[in-house]
Amino acid sequence: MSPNRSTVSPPSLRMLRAFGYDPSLATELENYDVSEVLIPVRWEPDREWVVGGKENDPRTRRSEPGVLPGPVGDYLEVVDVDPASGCAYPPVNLNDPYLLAQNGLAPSEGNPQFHQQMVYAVAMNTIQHFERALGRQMFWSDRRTKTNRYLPTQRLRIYPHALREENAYYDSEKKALLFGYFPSRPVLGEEMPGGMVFSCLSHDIIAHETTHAILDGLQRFFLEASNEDELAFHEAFADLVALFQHFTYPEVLRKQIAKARGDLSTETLLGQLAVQFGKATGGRGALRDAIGRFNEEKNRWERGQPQPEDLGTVKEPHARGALLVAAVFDAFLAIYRSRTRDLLRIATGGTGVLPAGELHPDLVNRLAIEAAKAAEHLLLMCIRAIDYCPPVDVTFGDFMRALITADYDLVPDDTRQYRVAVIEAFRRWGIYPNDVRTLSEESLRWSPPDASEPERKFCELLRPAFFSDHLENLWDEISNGRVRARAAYAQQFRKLTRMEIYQRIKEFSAGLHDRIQQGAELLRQTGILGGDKRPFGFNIDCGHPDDFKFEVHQVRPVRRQAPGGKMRQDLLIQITQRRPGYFDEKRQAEENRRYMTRGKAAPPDKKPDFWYRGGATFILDLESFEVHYVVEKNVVRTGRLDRQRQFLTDMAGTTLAELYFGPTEAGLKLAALHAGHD
Amino acid sequence: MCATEGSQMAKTPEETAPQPEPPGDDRSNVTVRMFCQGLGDCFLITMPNSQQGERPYSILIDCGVAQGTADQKRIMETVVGKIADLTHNVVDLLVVTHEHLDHVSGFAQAEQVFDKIEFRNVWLAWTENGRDKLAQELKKTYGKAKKALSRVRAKLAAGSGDAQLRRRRLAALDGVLAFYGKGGAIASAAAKARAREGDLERAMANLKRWGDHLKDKEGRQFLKPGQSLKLPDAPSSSIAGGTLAHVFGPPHDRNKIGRINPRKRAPETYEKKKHPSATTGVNWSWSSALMGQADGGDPVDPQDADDFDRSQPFDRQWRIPLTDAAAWRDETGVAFFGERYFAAGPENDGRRIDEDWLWSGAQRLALHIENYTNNTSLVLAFELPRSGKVLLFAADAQVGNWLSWHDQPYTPVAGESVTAESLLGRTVLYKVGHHGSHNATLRELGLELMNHPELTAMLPVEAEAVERLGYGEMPVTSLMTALNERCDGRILQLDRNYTGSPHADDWKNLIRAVVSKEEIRVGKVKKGTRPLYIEYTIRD
Repeated sequence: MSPNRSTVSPPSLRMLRAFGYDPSLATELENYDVSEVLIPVRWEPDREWVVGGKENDPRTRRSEPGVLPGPVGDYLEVVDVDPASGCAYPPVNLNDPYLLAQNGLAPSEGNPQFHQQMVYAVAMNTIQHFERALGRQMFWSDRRTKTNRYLPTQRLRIYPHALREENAYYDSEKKALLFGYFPSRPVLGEEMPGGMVFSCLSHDIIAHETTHAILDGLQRFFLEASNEDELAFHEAFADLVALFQHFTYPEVLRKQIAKARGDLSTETLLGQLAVQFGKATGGRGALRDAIGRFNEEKNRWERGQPQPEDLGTVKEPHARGALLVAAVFDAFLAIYRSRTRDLLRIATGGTGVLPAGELHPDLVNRLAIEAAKAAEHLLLMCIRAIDYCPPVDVTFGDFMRALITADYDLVPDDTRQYRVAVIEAFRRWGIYPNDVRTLSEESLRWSPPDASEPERKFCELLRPAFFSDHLENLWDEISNGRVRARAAYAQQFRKLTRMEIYQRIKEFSAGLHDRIQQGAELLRQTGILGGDKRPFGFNIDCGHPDDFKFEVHQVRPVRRQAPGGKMRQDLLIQITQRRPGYFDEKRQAEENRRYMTRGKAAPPDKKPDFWYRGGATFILDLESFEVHYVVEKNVVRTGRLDRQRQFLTDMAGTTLAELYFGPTEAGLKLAALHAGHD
Repeated sequence: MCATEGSQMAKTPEETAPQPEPPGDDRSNVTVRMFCQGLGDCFLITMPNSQQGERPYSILIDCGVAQGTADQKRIMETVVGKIADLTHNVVDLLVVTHEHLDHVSGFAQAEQVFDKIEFRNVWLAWTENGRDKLAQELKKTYGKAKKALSRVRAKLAAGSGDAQLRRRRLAALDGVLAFYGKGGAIASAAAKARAREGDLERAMANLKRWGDHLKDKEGRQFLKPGQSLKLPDAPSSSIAGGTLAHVFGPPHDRNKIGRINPRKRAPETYEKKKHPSATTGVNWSWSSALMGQADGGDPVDPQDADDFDRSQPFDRQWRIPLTDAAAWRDETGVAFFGERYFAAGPENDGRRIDEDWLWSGAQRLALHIENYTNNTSLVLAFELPRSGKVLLFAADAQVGNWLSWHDQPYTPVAGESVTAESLLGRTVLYKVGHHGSHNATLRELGLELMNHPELTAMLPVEAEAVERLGYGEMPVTSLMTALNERCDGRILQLDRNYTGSPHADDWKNLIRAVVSKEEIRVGKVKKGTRPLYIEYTIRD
């Protein structure tokens, strides 16, 4: 008799085999033993949901297995069509008993089903890191249809063999990752010339592109480059996630630590991104290296030195992003060094100076544990900071402040001095916020809303929505992820699926929006808001009623766990507004006059040259609904608007692709994976 | 922009601009005329003869206008008619810089008018020389690439999917192909006939015809970089007789001619890069997918089919032909691709990737060809005999071309040889490269060396055409800022000098610049008139 479902509970993890970095390591004797890793992927449970909202009607119930052939799960769908080859490749079924018994297919370049398995495993692993750090489920951004409606995107689509070129990108219109493959054209001796290189077999490229998609789901305006940091931030963040994920594979980590004799600031695979890709496209080393680079003239690898002035001159998003990556990685190295200093002293009888030769395996092991911990902490710190960023127009400086604030909230006593390490590293690389007086932790932290009446009153508007009849129920369902079965005799709960929760969040946000609007209108009539009394820079009464429209995003309960086990519960709300922007300054001046006219202004232009956005991120206590922080970008003041115009003007027509194909087509996809090779 | 402003004739630049010495029959005045036909180059240099009343020595550099310009045949015929008048039907030296329609279309469109004009000498770049090995090789390579691009266009046009997106992409591709007269917006027979008139092949055939009878008399020359030549058939005692033409480019070097974009870290030009360049061309696996797949029309060459098969990433056992994929079912009977890719509905609409590989590669390919052709530009620096002033005609040269100017020796004349640096330092007239695009004016080794106080720029760019062809920013703002500073505002842009226009103020600094009294009608959407040419005089 086979055990039935009630006696054996489903496993929590599905282990899947993958290339450790990419296939290139499998052909190097030195790294052969770490060329394969096991990725712990969450076991996706079977899904059961209700259409139309009738809980107890069996006709409205739907269900599907957790992972279908593809693989198609709750978050991802791998669809392996390859139009360039005029082919499709049959989908892998991860629930095949033979595959379940051997952790999936063995790594292979020649089997497309392994490719499907690997993109699924690495992308899921990346999603899991975000969910763990942010304490909530991830959603992809909505997809705009041709008729300008926004549809929720349940699954990010992954096309592992979409292009025949050295490229891979996140297409924000298709909500899809497109991976390319290409014949290698390396420096002799590094790779087989002409051998096929698959970007979907590179751990780093998959993690990088998946992060773009996740970040777009979290902060959808970050892709609307309004300043020179924004796209660079997207790139840097995607690189950081890929890099820190290296440290989650213990075999690889131990091997590299032994090779580097514990010193991670030397050339190791840990600090490098997309090794095979870099070599196959004619480079000497990886596509990007967070720690140093190969010096062609001296023919050797060199440790990168902070060049604070680069921040003023380097504009290309990948290159600019590399500065942020280097700063964060420097902070990581400093933390690692401080965490391991005692170990080295113990191992060397107090001198801290390692003797020549190989390290003791026990020491390697302990160092690896410390490195993995530090990397994990930094990765989670960076991810958590996303919630503390402004909803629009983010800069490196904003990210730095978000990083410090988010970490302070979770770990108020900085015993390991992580925050000091971050501040120091950012300073060395020339990254500062431009709106703080000193670089002390205290002044870097975002501030709570000030006690002025308009701001206080506005914050008070947020709270009642959570306690009104209809919304209160919705909120309960969202925050607990379950719904009460309606019939009186069936006093039980049903777990909501991810998309059911998403729907409820949308509905709740619309309700909250209406309540804020009504409340603000009331405050305006009583004279508490309006005129110069603009809470957080929101436009309450300028211009046409269309001008003081606003949007509510990301109303999410956030449950985060500190490294020490402490839980913190917050509530996140983002509110944004927009106004028309023009390249022509005279036209803009006219528009600004219209915008600032009260009462009789004409409605705003529907198709301006660009949209100028403002807004604020509110972080509230989940229980008391008190506002802890407000991170604002003022929409009424025009200083930032002028900077955005300058930025867009400077950027226009600066690449050939843009010159010939126009900014929409060139900027439609998030920048291609790598900078050209000319 | 100014159809109604014709009445405000009171403030023509002619009257407001200070005119310290009127141009005319002064023996030491060299005149450069920029014709205002639209986006495209056509320049006439005239140098006075030693004898009063004798026909001046004339040099014509290019004669073309971008595809899609309204009424281009009429405009080009007017332009060439004026050239015939000004040169008394004899052009002493014709310079053709490179094979792009916006530089040569006039040779086809106004062929009847040109037939009246006698060319005494023709200068072309070495890339046009059928006997040059490298030239032949490059022609073959890029010929293939152009063929591939036409095929991409056909494939895209025949494709399915989002019609709006397809239109946008085709229009963009046509913007590039427009330089070759192979655009796809051609529908009617009349339109086809018009297109033939503007055809690149026809223009080049005409040039060959006019040049062929000169070759025996050594009237046709293929120039190589580093040469310093006297103007052919110029009377020795005149300015023309003493003028030297230094050949800067195109570089006779495969790598340099392929160098298109500025370096990433320290850009040499006036640009700020945002996206990585898409100019690396395409790999063989992409092109074999393009050439190896049957698409209704052309049968596939067996060699191409074979290449395509070799380029397949996976063994046969894995492949489900895409044509069968919609109906394909797995062991459990699920039509995976049918449901998750082909089925119409909100889950799949707008998410398919049928043409993404094609489009993405086509962009690279188009840009690569485009830029290569620009880099084959013949670049000449004319050095005047008495003052040593230099007139620099950079055609559409891009980075690789510019950089090469500095690493080649120049033929010594009378025991003295020049350097590119010293010539740039004496440049008083700069014909701005590639209509002011981001990568066609070198910064440190280019504009920043041009420090003559008289420096003036001629910029043959028309805003309307840039918009029509769907190009991005041209001229690029950062270059304009730098030019403005270098030239102290003396920038002659062909569409910015309408009589009485708001830009008339810009002319205050423009000494010795006048616009022709004759005007041409231009514009499709906004009709108007504009001077036939802008004339600038340099005192030797």
